[in-house]
Amino acid sequence: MLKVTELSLAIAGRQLVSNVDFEVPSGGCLGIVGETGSGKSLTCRSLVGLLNPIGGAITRGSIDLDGHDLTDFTEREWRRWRGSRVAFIPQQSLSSLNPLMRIGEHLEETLRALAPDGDTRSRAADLLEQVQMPRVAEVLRAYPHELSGGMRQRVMIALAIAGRPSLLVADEPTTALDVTVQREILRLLTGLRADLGMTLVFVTHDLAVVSEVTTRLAIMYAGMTVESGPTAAILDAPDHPYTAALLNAHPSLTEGDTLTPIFGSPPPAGEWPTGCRFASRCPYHSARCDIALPSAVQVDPDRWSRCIHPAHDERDRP
Amino acid sequence: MSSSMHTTRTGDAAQAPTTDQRAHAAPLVSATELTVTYRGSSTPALDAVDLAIDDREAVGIVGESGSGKTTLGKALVGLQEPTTGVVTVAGRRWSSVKRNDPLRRRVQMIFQDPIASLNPRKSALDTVAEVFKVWKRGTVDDAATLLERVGISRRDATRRPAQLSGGQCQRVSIARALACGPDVLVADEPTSSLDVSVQAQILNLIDELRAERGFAFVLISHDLSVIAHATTRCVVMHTGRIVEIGPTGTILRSPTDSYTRRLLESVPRLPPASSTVPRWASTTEKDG
Amino acid sequence: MTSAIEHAAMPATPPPAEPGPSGLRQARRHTRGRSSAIAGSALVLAILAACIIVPMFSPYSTSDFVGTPLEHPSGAHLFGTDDLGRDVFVRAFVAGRVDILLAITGAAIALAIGTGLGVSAAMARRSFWDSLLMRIVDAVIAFPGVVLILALVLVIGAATSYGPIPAGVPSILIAVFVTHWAVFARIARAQTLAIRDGDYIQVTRVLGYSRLRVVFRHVLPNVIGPSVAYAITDAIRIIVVISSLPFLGAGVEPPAPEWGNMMYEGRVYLADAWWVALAPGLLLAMTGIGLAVAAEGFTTWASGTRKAR
Repeated sequence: MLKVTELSLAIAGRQLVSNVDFEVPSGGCLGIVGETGSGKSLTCRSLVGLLNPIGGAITRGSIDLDGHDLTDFTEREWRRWRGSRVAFIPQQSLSSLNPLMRIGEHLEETLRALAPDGDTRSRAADLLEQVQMPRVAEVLRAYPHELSGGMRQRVMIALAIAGRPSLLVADEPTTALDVTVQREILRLLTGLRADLGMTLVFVTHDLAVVSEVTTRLAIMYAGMTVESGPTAAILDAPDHPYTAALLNAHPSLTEGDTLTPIFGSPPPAGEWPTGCRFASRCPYHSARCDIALPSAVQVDPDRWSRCIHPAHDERDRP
Repeated sequence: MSSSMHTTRTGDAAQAPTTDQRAHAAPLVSATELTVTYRGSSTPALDAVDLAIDDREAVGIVGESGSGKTTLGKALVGLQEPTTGVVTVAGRRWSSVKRNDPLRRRVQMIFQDPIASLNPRKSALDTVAEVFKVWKRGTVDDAATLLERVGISRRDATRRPAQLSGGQCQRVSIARALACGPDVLVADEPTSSLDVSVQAQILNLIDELRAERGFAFVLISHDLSVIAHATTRCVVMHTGRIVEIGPTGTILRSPTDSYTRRLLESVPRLPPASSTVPRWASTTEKDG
Repeated sequence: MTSAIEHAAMPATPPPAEPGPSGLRQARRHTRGRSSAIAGSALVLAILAACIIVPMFSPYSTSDFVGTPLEHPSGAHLFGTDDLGRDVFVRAFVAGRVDILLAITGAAIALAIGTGLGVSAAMARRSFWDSLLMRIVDAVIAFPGVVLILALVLVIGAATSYGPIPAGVPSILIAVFVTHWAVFARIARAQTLAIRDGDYIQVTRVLGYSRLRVVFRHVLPNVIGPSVAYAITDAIRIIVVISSLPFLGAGVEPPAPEWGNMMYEGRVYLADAWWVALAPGLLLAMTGIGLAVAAEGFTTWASGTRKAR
């Protein structure tokens, strides 16, 4: 079980994420949804301890994974955990693979790091089969640029699950892929989650994807979580106005639907107002919203929202 | 003028319509037997494509990567030369239209990367004013007014692309295209790099401008839901060929071609909007 | 649905936030390097100004024999006198006019013509012109520069002086241009190729802009940055070449003063009358430093503004 409480992150002293809360039970699938600048990528990096390379640090809060507090981890502890307990799939698969190394070498290098003995070659082939890669023998000998985007993403997944992690964090794994390939990759990830009993954390900007794939949802805006809870419940009856606005702005496959845009843009980090950060764009905005950041209100036993005007409250409708 | 020629396709038990079956007046832009093969490649990017764009219509071209949709868009605006076949504008072949021919004004394009579409060293105002100047259609003030119409304030108009957001840059591109007074606007994935809330702003803006100015709109996208929202006719492309063409609604509800069906199945869907999702006319604009 | 576009315009925001500075701090970053560029240029311009103005206030001319030969620097002669009794101070500054102006002019001509050719080749409709130009460029660059300059200078000759312009200058200018334009062509071509297929250049065809407008208003401003930075460093190279020519038997002919020929003539006296060679050497070194600082500052500044795109 992964539970994040009041997480705050900063880079070089600048607060970029604050007040992030969400949780997901073991074996579940959490979607972190947000637009540009919401802090979702940074948050998912903090889950795998990859803040240091970009000069980031956790300033507050806790990340609890099966009883371990990841915020306290030293670099050494992370090195032991990464790959074997916690794994990460970064956003850009092409730039994450060494263009001079064949796929087989990538896989064997990772396998050797995890378990120095053993037949890495056949295990590499096994891994590729596990991610349903076609023509395994050819792919092992190929270079990254010779593979399609979908195949490269399968390689990234294979590298991530090589150590049989209990938590897999994927940063926009299907954003750059064609929709038919995306469907296959999502199916693959869901299947692997079941087979390996992993907890999956999925960062994306696409609400439709999370609605199909995830069991729990955390919506992020301007560096904080505005709503978190079970996916179906949130999408069916959103509590926070931003969630509702996102749903209204999302085109569906129905012809001639109206789209309601959200005007303006999120306040950049460093220009956060003292009150609610969505207030200036919110139809329910009232003077009370500007006083202080709303604390997380419990809407249901496992559902939270940071709004003093819950979207379903009739009296407050504009 | 009757509809254009057939493309013959092998196989498929249920033949999806691949040609325009409508009778229409002279189309503004039309591609006939259009084939484009890039140098050094053995497979054509576009294979014998026939497509006509009529006055004031909104057409969507949907396909995945490698489908040829971008190549088709470029060919329609005269940026891509056909290897065989022809693209005509108002009856004239693009290859016979010179650079500064007034006909060029009538077909314009906006691109996927909003910031890369603009000259980094020119302010938004300069970029749009240049169009007015070159075509002698207006003054700098007209440019400022047009930018305001697309949502760029006078103050923002003096900024360069690097200081504007993606959505704002796309608005500037739209203004630049409209400054020509086009009859056809081709948009190649205009909202793919934008957040969904900004996407909605841009799509709505284009809807309004179409209602005001009456130009035909060709929307190229991989996103079927965007096509569904903005277009009435849809062209589905796969590996350089049109595999299905028809009214958007029909294609979405009852696709005939197997690839179209696979495409539709793969699109992740939000649950249908339930009544508990509050809807409002527009979010208010509080200058925060 | 009401058109909310008619509402007050969107608040101006910087580009979507990735971790990084925003607003005011972004503005600061874009001008980093600008102070070095200005400082370096100021130094060079100051030296040039001194070279032009100082001799006007000097009681001595460059060719008068005004004192005993090889006199130590003193109140009367700040840099002493040379082997013919001429005032070194005034000669050193007059020499500076030749060197600095030749360097700037040479670099500017090479920049203008080289860049023009490079951009044209890259934008040409038929790749034949591009290939042709590049082969010529390769040949010019491959040929040893000093040999070519020497040959050209000696062939064109150092016949007469044209008014205030000392003998030898036109041939040096021609020789410098012939050997230096090629690198500018390469730089400009590479820069142009990088942006030629980009959307904002492609769209100019759709917009119906003439090729001339595209080259001058859209391509040139966006590619000239690295070329100018290189031109500033090229000025240093040119000064070094010019001042080395006397050591090879060519260059600006004495008695016209030039840093190179002053150092050449003063080299035999280095042990005893070091000021004869040191004065021009010092001015040359300062000019070189100024140019180097300006070049580096300019490069940083130009790449800062480019990164923002």
